[in-house]
Amino acid sequence: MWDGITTGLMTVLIPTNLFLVACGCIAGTFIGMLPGLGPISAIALMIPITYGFDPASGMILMAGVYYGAIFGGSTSSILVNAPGVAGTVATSFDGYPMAQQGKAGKALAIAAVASFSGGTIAAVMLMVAAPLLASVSLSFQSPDYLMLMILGLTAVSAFASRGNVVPALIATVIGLMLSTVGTDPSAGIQRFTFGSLDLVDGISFLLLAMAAFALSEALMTVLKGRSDPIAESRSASQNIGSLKIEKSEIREMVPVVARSSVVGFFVGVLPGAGATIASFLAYGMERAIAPAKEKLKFGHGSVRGLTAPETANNAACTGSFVPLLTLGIPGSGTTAVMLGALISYGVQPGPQLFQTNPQVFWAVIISMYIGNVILLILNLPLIPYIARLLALPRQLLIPMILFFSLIGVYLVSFNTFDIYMMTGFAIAAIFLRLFSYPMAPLILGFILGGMMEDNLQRTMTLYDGSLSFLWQRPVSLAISLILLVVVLVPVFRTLRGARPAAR
Amino acid sequence: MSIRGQIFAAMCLFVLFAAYGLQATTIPMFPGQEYEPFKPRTMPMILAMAGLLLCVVRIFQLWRMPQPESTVVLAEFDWKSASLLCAVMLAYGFAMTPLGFVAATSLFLAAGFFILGERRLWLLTGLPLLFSLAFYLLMTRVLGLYLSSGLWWNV
Repeated sequence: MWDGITTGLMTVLIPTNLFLVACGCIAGTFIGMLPGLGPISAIALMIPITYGFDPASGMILMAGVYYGAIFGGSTSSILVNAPGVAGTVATSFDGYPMAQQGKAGKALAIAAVASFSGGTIAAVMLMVAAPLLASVSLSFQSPDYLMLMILGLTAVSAFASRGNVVPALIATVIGLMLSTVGTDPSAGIQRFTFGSLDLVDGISFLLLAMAAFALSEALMTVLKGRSDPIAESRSASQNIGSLKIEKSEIREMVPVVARSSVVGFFVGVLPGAGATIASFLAYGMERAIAPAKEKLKFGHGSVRGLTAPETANNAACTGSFVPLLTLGIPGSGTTAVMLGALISYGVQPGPQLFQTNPQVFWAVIISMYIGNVILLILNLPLIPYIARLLALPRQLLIPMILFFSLIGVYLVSFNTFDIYMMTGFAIAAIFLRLFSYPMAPLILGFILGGMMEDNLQRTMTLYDGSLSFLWQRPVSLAISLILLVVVLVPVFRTLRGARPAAR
Repeated sequence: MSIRGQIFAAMCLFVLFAAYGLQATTIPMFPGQEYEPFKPRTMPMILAMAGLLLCVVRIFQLWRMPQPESTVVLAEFDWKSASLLCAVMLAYGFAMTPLGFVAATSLFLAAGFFILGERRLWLLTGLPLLFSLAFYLLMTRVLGLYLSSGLWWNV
């Protein structure tokens, strides 16, 4: 492990890569602050820029963007009660009341320190967990991978909010369907191309990610009306107060950080759970175990209430890299976009990544730590200025976002057909969102579709079309049983919820 | 969104999955491939069936659901601006080759600013032109990428 850490440090600590982490953190913070644009959009917007980079540098930039976007989301949650991403909703419960009390600077500082601590503890846990899991997963075969992918896709939907499990599953199937467009990899037969040469190579992952997230989010902002939440941040950011945290507050934060980091990391490792569930879980846990007097402060600017979700969401972000780096299976929409980026660099994540590209594997882990340090020392003092940059009027900002999304895809293919296709997908994505069909499972399904078909083909060929692999291989059997639990829990929950309603 | 609207959406998706499944049956196969355990149409067929089943579950789920107290009213959305922006994006694609990157991007940005309510002349003309020119020079001269200069330029 120490060799790996040294390799990672040597890769990250070169000036170019340090510069990239810093740029990524600042760009991510800026994008994450924009209402509606989260880490997925931020990373998708960065992919075209990183095409010329070596894989390690590309991933380092993206890790910085990821952390920056999460931190940016927290900033808009605290300053204007407009969480940029779902993972920072819980931050606004106590962060915004603190800002209203004239302690926005303190709230931002607590959020930054909590994020830094959560990310750091989780990065250490990742260093230990990832190589262990990678060595175990070397024994995995096609049926195991197939079941693992089905589990990942199902878990993402199962962790959706109550009543949204079926729409999330439908979105996953749509994503898988889109992945079948183009030339079939096994027989070389064209599928769903309708004779169009532009579709022979299939749909580009970047195109779909940009259309489903960046474009559709920008258009949703237009659709939802003419209010300008960004402009509010200008007045909020002009007087943020002192950034100083008192000693008593630090003492209060320490145990919360320790508990929430562990919760966040393990929730993040679970496929589909991610930062949102982690932050709510940590917030709920802290409120439950807080003394009665402290409990009353929750929702009114509690230091514990702000520290817990901020620590947990950053720890979960780090945890979500475990399945991506060790199994090659993303556990969240953001890591799915990162997987697409890695594949486009010619790097195949999975257990072999640890052996074939150790510099990428360790550089990503180390860059997370460096990203956290940079966020703390660079972003925090810059927050008032970055928030002022957001005072760009909406009528100028949205066309710019549309332009960067369109041109980002066009510069890869130089094919105007991609612009038409993106517009079409963005319109479809808007309608799906309006009818409560989430986009993250769709992109996850699309990314995993090709790998899933590949593993399904090998499994079917190996077992001559029989489903006996489900019980013949112990790993597949174990995953199948977990899958069964994941599927049955929401069904049980729905039935239990329906019974009292019927009474 | 109202329950009726949600059911309509689920039905539309049902039709989409059915059409996908039907299209999957037309995927050609090599002679003898029909006897293999895995064919190019296997995965699409599984997905079509899964999609259809999920749509049926969704429709039944919605059928039993009480009408929510507050629903999103589509009519309150700014459809005009969003539709115009979509049209401008399509037009941008069409204009890229004949007009060239600089002219097409300037027009795209100016139209976007205008649709969203910007009326200051220098922001509608100067900013898009300067921005697209700077971006064009950065891409072509610094990064060495090709961007269309337009058919009219070649003439």
